[in-house]
Amino acid sequence: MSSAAAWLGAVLRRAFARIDYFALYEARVVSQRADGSVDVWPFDARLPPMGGIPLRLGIPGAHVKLAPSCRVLVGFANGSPGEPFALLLDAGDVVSVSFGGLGGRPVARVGDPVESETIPPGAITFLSPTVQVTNTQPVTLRGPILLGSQKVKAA
Amino acid sequence: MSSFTRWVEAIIERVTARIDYFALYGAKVVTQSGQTVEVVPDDPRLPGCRAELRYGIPGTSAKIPRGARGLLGFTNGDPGRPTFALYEPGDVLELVFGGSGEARGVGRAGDPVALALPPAMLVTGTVGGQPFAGTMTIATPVAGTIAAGSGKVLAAT
Repeated sequence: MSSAAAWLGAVLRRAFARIDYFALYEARVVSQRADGSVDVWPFDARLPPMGGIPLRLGIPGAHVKLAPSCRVLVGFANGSPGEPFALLLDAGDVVSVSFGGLGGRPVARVGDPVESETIPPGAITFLSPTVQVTNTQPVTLRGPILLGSQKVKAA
Repeated sequence: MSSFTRWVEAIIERVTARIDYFALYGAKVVTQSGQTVEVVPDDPRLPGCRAELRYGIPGTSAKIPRGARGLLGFTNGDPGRPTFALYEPGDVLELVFGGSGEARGVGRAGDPVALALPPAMLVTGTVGGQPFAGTMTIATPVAGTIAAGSGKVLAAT
């Protein structure tokens, strides 16, 4: 092979034989940072470990705390190596998922307890033609949630 | 690397550079109409467009605030079928799960509930050792709270 051909071959290899940054690559999550971004270790040895890459979720306003060592897919926005992101596509467990923005409180489910404020003494009366009785102790009503959505459930 | 080599590589990059309609591109929401959004892509080679919203969970719909960021893709690689999905962490105006049917807010631990007993409930027993029959009334609904909920699934205000 002439030196010109070898040179052209090297140029073409550099131009074309590269990571396809429009593709998705499987990786394992090493840790999750306070801002929700993740440190990942790609399975493809051509890709280096990457730190602090954002999670992209299918639900707007959602935030998740990942279970340790879960798997993600790593992609690159705009095909740019400088814009990696992680996708959650593995069916697995999760520490917590928050909908509607940051913060929030646990959603209630059928069977979860509810309780009343304290009913003060004298607020409950028993009446009969000859007897009138009223409560002398504070009372708190407690019970479960009886009904809820048939379609949306929470673990 | 010589300047000539860089020049040849630049030509190759220019010749092969094209919009890959099987790729995903960062974009920002401008307006929403139904379940489509007008978006502005980060890549200046792509024009603004109206894209269909896609979610990672079937039966989901959302009202998305202006400025929300996600990824723009193209169904079947067709430039005429843009879709918008894979959202960056942020806020949302409304989120509905479960598909069709009446949507109501989910209850959360700490949210208020109103407990009411039927008026004039019949009660029986004894008073001072004598049989007793009468009615019991709690005149007004009793305020309360949801005492606990899921440890994993949270909902914001």
